[in-house]
Amino acid sequence: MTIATNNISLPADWRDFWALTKPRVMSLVVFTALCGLLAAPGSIHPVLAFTAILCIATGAGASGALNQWYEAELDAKMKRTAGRPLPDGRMERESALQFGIGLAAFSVGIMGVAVNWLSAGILAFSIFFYAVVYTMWLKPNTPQNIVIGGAAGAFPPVIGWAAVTGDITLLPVLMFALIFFWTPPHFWALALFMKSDYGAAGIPMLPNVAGQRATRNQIFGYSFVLAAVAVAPWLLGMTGIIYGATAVLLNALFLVLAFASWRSESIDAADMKAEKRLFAFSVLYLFIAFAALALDRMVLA
Amino acid sequence: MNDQATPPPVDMGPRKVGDLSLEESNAVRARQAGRSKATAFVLFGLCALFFAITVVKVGVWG
Repeated sequence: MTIATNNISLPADWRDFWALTKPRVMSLVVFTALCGLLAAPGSIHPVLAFTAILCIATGAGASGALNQWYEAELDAKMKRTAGRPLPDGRMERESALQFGIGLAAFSVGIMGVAVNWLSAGILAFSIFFYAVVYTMWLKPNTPQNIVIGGAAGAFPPVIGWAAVTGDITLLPVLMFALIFFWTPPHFWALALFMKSDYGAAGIPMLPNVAGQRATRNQIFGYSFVLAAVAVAPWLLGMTGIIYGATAVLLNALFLVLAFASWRSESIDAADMKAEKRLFAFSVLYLFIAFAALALDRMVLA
Repeated sequence: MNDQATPPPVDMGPRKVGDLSLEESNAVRARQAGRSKATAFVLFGLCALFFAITVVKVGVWG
């Protein structure tokens, strides 16, 4: 638990353990899980709802810790991640592994005992998918890493739904698909203007492997799939006009920004304003879409 | 009896950790204190949560 810092040996700070959980990613996970929970029919005791969200957040934290444990050497090569506790030498690698496994066991165990074992099972699979399938297998080996790996981030609303109902129907599957098809344009927009960082770490992101033109084509193509999936709950009668109107407006804006990125020929990261706008809007997009979905379902209920 | 040497006074002030200097020892102790407080906070929260879950599960609050 101790690490040499300057001339003395200091125990890792509690803030470093907190940083291992990737709190900013966790906030998006918690929000989408909460929306899945609120959109589900039926009711759940507030204490159990809080426990479910806490377990989902803890599971996301476990995934983040295991990801940072495995990628400590890669993180040291990228400016964006070099300040994390492991590459910065503020913590021993073994501590991160133990912390991650402990959080994973805790989150799945409590979810199963307190809520239900279906949601616990999906939570366990999502941690495994992110830490093993995505981090260890897909990310270092294929430029399609975030397409398939996006599934890991798409599970939280399904878990939230399953915590209430104990089953999975079409709407949580569509919520899963919404995040799944949102992930490629979101991450490829980032990868375009962080290309050199990923290249330095040897991660085969699409811009580094297939080039910027192919990446922009893919972003634009996925934006249409995303739009179709996003409006599906409304077209299929599972939500009302609140979500329908929001989804139409959000996806129109998303397509406009994706089109601007598609037309762009910028090579230098500093000139990639269209990609930076698309990336920033994509974060807002997901928050608003899920908030509208939860609100709509609560109004309908 | 009076011939016995008086034991040296016990130092109740800051003590060193291993071979570290006083300043380094203080830094280590401050870090340990922060972790202890964070652990206590988490354990207290878990106690409250487990109590609440148990009460809900046995149906005291409906």
